[in-house]
Amino acid sequence: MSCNPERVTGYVDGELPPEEGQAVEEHLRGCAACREQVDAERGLRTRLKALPEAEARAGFEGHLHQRIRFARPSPLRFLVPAAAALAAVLLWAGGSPVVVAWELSRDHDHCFGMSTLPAEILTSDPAAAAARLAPPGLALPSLPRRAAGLELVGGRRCPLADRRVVHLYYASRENRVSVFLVPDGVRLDDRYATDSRANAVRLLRVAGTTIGIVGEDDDVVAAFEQALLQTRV
Amino acid sequence: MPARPLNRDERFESEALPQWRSLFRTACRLMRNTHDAEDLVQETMLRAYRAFDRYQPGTNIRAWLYTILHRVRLDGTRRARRAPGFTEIEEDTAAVRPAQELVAAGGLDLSRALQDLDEPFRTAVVLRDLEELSYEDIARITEAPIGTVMSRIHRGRKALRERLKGASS
Repeated sequence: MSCNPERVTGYVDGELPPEEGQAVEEHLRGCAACREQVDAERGLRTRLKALPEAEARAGFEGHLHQRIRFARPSPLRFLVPAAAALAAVLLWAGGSPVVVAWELSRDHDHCFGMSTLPAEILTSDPAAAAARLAPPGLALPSLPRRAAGLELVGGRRCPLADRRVVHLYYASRENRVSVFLVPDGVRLDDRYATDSRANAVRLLRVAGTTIGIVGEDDDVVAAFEQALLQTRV
Repeated sequence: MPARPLNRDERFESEALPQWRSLFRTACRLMRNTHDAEDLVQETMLRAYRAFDRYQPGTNIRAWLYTILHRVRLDGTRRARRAPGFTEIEEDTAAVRPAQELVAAGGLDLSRALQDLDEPFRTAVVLRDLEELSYEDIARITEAPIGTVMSRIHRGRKALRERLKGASS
């Protein structure tokens, strides 16, 4: 038998029929190159098995159970819209600003951490972004093209709360800020400010919509919030 | 008194749902970040739940779930390519240098080499070497002949070894 590297792979994995396995074994006795392949593949497998594993976020398992529960056909199907709204609220753990801030911060890192922004629309025109991204039946509050030295670059409807949350990306050369428009479900009196996952987060209520502002730099986020409030006065 | 047989939902909760960790581990190796991996696992479980009547009890539940995960992932890739108005930002425009590049500049390790491996080799290597599925299961999951699976695993491992060699030299 001449060298057949693919078959050697099958041999390493114990996936060859017995007679083929024996043929490879005989070949290995006289072929240093194929023996080297066997050792290298076994070594690689050991290293792959030993790779550290990523952790899902705390609560993901519970979240999964909940999603399955909501997927169950209900005898009260006419209540589906209400169930969908409830699912959205549950996603925010009862609308707690702490959880909402954490999720928004996480999504900010998620989008700006990608090699290309996962934008559904790339535009600096807030009206065009709103027209494209507003969930059915909801009008979005008007937003600035520029604020605190950052410019709108695009946005998407993010998977949070059943895609009812609009995520807008603002960027300058040095800074990135996310603006989230959350239509419902957040327990918020007026304003809320915190640090979450090493990002500065501000939540404010404007005309029934919660606006979340997230960025790495606290001063920039504060300036952005001020600019936003001033354009709305 | 004999135990009451489990109903459909109970069977799903006891057989399929506990596999989420194994699906998540694979999803992390196939997607770019844990956020996308969680989305993939969630969508896989929802589809599995809806299709659970088609699962044959006693057969390999992990292989069945991986088949769904593989399809969900392919659908997602196709949808992203088709999405109207989806444009990728050019590298040198206003937007944003990805943090991942900085991390990558620190060194090319095995994890990174695996992430960079092209499809369909990455899926084949992940299912075999991390999840230890048989060639037959991988063939069923990826809808490819067994010979093709063996070839993909071979080429995937070879590419990994070459990348690691290149990184260390």
